[in-house]
Amino acid sequence: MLTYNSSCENDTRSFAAEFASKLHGGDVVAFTGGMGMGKTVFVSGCADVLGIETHVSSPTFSIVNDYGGKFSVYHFDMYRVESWDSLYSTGFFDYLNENSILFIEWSENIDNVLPENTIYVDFSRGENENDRTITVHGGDGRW
Amino acid sequence: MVILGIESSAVSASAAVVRDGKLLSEAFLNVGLTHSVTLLPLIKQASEGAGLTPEEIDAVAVSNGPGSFTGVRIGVATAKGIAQPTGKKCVPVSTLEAIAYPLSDSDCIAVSVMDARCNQVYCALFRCADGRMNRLTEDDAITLDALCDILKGYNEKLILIGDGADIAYKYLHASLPDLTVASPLIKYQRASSVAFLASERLENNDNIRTPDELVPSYLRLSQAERELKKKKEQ
Repeated sequence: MLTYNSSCENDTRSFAAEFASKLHGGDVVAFTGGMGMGKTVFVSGCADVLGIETHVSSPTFSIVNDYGGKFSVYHFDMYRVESWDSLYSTGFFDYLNENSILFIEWSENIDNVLPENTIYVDFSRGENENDRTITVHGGDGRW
Repeated sequence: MVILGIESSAVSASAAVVRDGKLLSEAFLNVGLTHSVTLLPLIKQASEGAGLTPEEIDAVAVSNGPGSFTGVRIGVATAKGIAQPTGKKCVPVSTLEAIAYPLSDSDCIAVSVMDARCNQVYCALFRCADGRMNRLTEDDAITLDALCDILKGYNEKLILIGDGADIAYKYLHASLPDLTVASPLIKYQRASSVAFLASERLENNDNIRTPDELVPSYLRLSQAERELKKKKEQ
């Protein structure tokens, strides 16, 4: 387990970039922690390292964004996914393969179908308004 | 009768042209889920290879599920798109039946299995003999344990076939030592099988659809075993 204290967006971005350098094809990164915690900022911090050239944005309405990159990187938002049928119709199961990396916001909603090697990134608030504690664990013991 | 077969229900994608019970051409790729990019060129390759224009196709056959949500949708939408302008006949074919088709000449029970994720498989059983297949079970999404129980009820030669065959074999062979897996050449679903099954249907006027009536056949996973969402801590 790795814990990092961020006090601003730039901190979160730098931590994310370091985190992303350890990712490889087949990884699933599951975020938890609620709204406005910096999940999308974290993904944008991973972008350069993963060779993503397109703009990273929250997939709240699209459900999934396809960024391409060094690996095939997909960014999900499961906020509105409440049932097995709606999960199936996102095509989620089609994206799980050895060549892709998945970032999943609101992963709480699909926790029980996440693969065993999932890397969990949990956000919680710190003392000051912009403080965040980011905890990383899982990934078959890599964190 | 010229039939265009389309198959994109899982990781592989293919298109084939069958005329009067004879395979004229087939284009096949097994390089990952890129069907939105590869399927139309495969169809073009198969049709042009057979020397046919789209107008000369009498019916469009497609594997309409079960399978990958995206793959099945792409296949069915493409079949509709090709059939709609000229109102060609459409023939939906069960993916699991198409998978089992290459075993129809063997004397065995074909156990057609696709990986449905979450430790489940899409599965159907067919008794094969003399080039004929008789369906023994309906298409279903079940756990490998449930499949094991079903297979124990048959005292015949059982052959696993489909993209879930290896996963199923690994899980089941200790309990079912006589179980075998189909050869790699026939393991994956092919558009030619879809087209051949459709030609039988067309001869018997069985299960023929208009382009409007053609729809995907999704199968729900068995969900009783677990909740999707993490239980909230009290």
